[in-house]
Amino acid sequence: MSTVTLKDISLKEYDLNSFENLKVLRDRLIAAPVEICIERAKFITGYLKKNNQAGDCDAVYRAKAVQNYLINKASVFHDNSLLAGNTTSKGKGAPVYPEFIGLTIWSELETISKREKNPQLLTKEELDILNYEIYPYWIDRDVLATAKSWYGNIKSIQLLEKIMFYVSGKAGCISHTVPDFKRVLKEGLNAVIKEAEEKEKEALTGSGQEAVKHAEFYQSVQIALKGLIIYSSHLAEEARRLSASCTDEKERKRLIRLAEICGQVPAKPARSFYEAVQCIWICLIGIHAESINMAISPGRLDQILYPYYEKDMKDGKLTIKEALEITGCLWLKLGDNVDVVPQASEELFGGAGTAPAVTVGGIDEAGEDAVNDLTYIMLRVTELLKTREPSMNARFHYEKNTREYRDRVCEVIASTLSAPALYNDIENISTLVNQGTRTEHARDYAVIGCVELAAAGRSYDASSSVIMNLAAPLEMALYNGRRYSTGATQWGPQTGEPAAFKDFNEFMNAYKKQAKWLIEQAIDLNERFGAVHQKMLPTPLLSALFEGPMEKGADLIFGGAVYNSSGATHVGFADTVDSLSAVECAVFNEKYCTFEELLNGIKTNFKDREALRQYLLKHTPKYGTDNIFAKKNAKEIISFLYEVYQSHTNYRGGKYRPAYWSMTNHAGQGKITYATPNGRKAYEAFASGITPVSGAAGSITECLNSVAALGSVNIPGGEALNIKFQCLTDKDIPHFGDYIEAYFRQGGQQIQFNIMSYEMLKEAKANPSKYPYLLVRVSGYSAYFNDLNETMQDELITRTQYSVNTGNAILYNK
Amino acid sequence: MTDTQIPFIFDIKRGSLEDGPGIRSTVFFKGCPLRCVWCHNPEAYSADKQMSYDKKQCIGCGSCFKCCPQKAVKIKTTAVIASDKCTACGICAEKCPAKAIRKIGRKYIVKELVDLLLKDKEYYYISDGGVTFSGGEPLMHIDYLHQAVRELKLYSIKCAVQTCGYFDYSAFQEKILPYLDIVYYDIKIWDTKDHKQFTSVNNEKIITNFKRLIKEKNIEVIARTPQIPGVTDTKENIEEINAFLKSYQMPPSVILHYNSGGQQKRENLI
Repeated sequence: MSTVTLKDISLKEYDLNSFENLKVLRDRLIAAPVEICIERAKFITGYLKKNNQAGDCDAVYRAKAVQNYLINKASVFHDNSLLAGNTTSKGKGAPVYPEFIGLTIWSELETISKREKNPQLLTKEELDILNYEIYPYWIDRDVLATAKSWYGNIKSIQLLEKIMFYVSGKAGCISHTVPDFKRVLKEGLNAVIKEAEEKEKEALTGSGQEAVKHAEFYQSVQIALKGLIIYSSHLAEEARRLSASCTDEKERKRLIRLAEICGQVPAKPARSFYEAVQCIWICLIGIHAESINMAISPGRLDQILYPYYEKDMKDGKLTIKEALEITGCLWLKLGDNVDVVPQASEELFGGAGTAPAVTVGGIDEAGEDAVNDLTYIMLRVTELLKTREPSMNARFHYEKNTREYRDRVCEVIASTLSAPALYNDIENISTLVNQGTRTEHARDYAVIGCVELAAAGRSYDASSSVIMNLAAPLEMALYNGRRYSTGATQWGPQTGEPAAFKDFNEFMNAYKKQAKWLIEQAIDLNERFGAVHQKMLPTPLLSALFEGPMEKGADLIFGGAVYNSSGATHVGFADTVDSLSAVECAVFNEKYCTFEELLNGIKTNFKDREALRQYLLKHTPKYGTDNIFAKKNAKEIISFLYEVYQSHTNYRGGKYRPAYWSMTNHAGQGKITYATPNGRKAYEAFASGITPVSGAAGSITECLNSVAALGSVNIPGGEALNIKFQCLTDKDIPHFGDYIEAYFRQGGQQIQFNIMSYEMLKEAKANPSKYPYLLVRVSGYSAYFNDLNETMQDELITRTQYSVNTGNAILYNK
Repeated sequence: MTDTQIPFIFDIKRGSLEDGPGIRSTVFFKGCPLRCVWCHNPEAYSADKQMSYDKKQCIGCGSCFKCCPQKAVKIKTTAVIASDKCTACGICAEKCPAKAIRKIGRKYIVKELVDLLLKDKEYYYISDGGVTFSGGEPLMHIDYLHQAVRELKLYSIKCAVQTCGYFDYSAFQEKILPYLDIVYYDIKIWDTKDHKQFTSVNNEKIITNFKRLIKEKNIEVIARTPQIPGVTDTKENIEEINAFLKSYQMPPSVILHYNSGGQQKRENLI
């Protein structure tokens, strides 16, 4: 039930000047240099080195290592935030997770502090510890090394190491999920530990391998959670210690209050809004102690926290202003960590934050309007802070949510220029139901990381398991299973030399064969990595903060969650569809050129073949328009991929779910992919996410209609549609909302915006200091424009820009 | 309706907020009884098909040279087209890979046009928008327009017309008016002599039609005046127009900002 009591939903009377503290914290966080933090790596590795596994099962061994870190983790109060605790020991830390891709920076340790783009500072002392104590231990033990030692140099690993086919998320992380905080808030972790104790005892009375595994799981939960409670008690002690010597009265009160709160949560139930927020933050720290900091998403905070807010407001214990400030502190805390980014990854992921996604609005489990005061408080905080974290997402149910809510979200977009992204409740809920999610659970969905959908706290979706370059199988279909840049190496099956194809179907079939083969390689690798994870990286702490594992007695990575899936996202969708249509039109329907001539064109990167390229660009069907061939091919690829993925079940018992978001990978993968039949020149960026190629769609409605026509049922992993509007004034807001709603009413799943012009972005690139923290939506997550590499900046600059007044694309002129 | 009765349409702009309330599609007809010297849609003068050529887009590939049946094209570094020889047959436009040469104006049978406009119906409904017919002069094509607006009304789509006022009132009253919601009505110049000089026609018919229109029921009429420096935006002209409007209890004329985009389009016309 909607419970909006605010007189002014935009909360205009509170601006950043009302929160002196928040303003200082924000400016400091944004300006702070990124420092590499080895604290976690040191304690985890230290434990594993000192204690060999001996009698401990994998789960307990891992839980003890995590507990060791949490117990030894420094309790630092860097500033006067209203919340205690940090994910790292630094102000803005990049924690090293040596189990995963942490090793890839080994060769860059000397230069990473000094590199030009996004340097990450590393002290000499920490550098030495990494060099001599941490990395030597992991060199043969990280996920990839373990997989190689188990399986040998198999093809699916070779393909991964080439980067230009697919990226496998599991080499880098166990993450991308929305935990459940409702239980810990209501009951506290002590209650969970007690349950685990009892269930362990009960399991031990059983017999057989299964009972042992259950008991081991429950034991590991207790160990990990105790570690987190100890960390919280250390925070309480430190706050008390600092308060004793504190002379500033206000500051002393803050510390004493924090000492009390950290003594209460997360061990015991949260009694207030403030405690609830602190509890969630400590739990997130715990999750980051165990799993890598990638898209660990807090979920529907306006729903989860509402009962605490409501009670406090009723009891007169909380004011709107305090709620705004506490929420603001959480927003800033969520940005206290970033990923360690090696130089090579700068190209693919440069400027990315950790994408902790917060979701607001939409409907509740009963199907009613769920927008409440906190929804608006969170939107206002987002509007005021304009920070990269959290990744903000607003759900919209056009039958249940009000127009005031819709337009307020639009107002925040106009003000932040990019956040939040919008999600169509009707489509997303039915898409999840189609995946086997119970209706009430589907209604309670939240966004993971960029744009992925999860039945929050119930579905473990590992939504970034595969990032597939769809232009890779395209090239393989054009070169009979080979890639242009790797010459004679035969990667995929031999599907024939295209010059001999008699009709378009033969080419489409060749494409599908190559794509299916590549997907099966990626899935094969994901399954193998999954097995490695099950041995190396049980996640008892995260499992305890989830629905399912405690009932089933199984860790998340053994399929403990209520629902399971693996997500596979796709890069280069629009360019690939347009390339298929270009072949169909130019070679077979219009016979403008032979297949051989077309191949010669792309092999030479259209050198001295500008007429051919112009023809391909301007006369062949483009996804994003009403053209029936473009529509047919787009739909065919979407449903083909859906069927291939859904026919595979993962090691946790869930299905693979295709998705279409690309982070910065469309620029990165484009940069290593040769010319394509749609007239795209070699190494140019692909279009992002599910977005049509820039310049294809002449009007905003044509563009939105084409994307909406794809529907969502076949896109269960989520999609990112990036639209750039030139500018947005107050009077445009209602119609801006109308565009979105009409798109949703036709089946559009998701949409996100950049409200900026070619000129503004060109200016921002030329004079970075003029737009120091310009927040842009990349494809899924947000980033600061200055942090992006040049390819990505150029892709953002040249993205089609629409005029909200004429609805027309304004063409980019160099 | 025979092919000769189907008018040429030179543009359909979708998703616009500019040509009336809400989100709209605007249909631009070719053909206009006026010849305003400042016109920003010069391709709309002639009711016939035409060609345009944008030299900046030309890559000098010679496709047009090879296919032109009139031998109207020469290639230097880019194409040079002799307008006296060009018959606007359109063959070169189909062949031009860079789309530097384009046909201006194509015919849509009514159903085709309506289907295209209906693609955006969700936007019209949600925003209280609709379809605007503009030009050129849409009311030059009463029978065609009649079929289109009648069809759109079946879907409860609100229709508007932008007119110069120089049309056959009784045909309009019978065939268009019942299906319209808004008329945007240009009153460009009050002085009859000036009107003739700058637009090539007298304004008597325009003013008479306007007086009849505002007596009609169930139609919103919005008077507009394009802001042409030194011609329409003089103090006297605006005052006279507004005094006329006031005498009929109408609000002042809406001033349309001058759009200078016409010059380039004029130069590109073959």
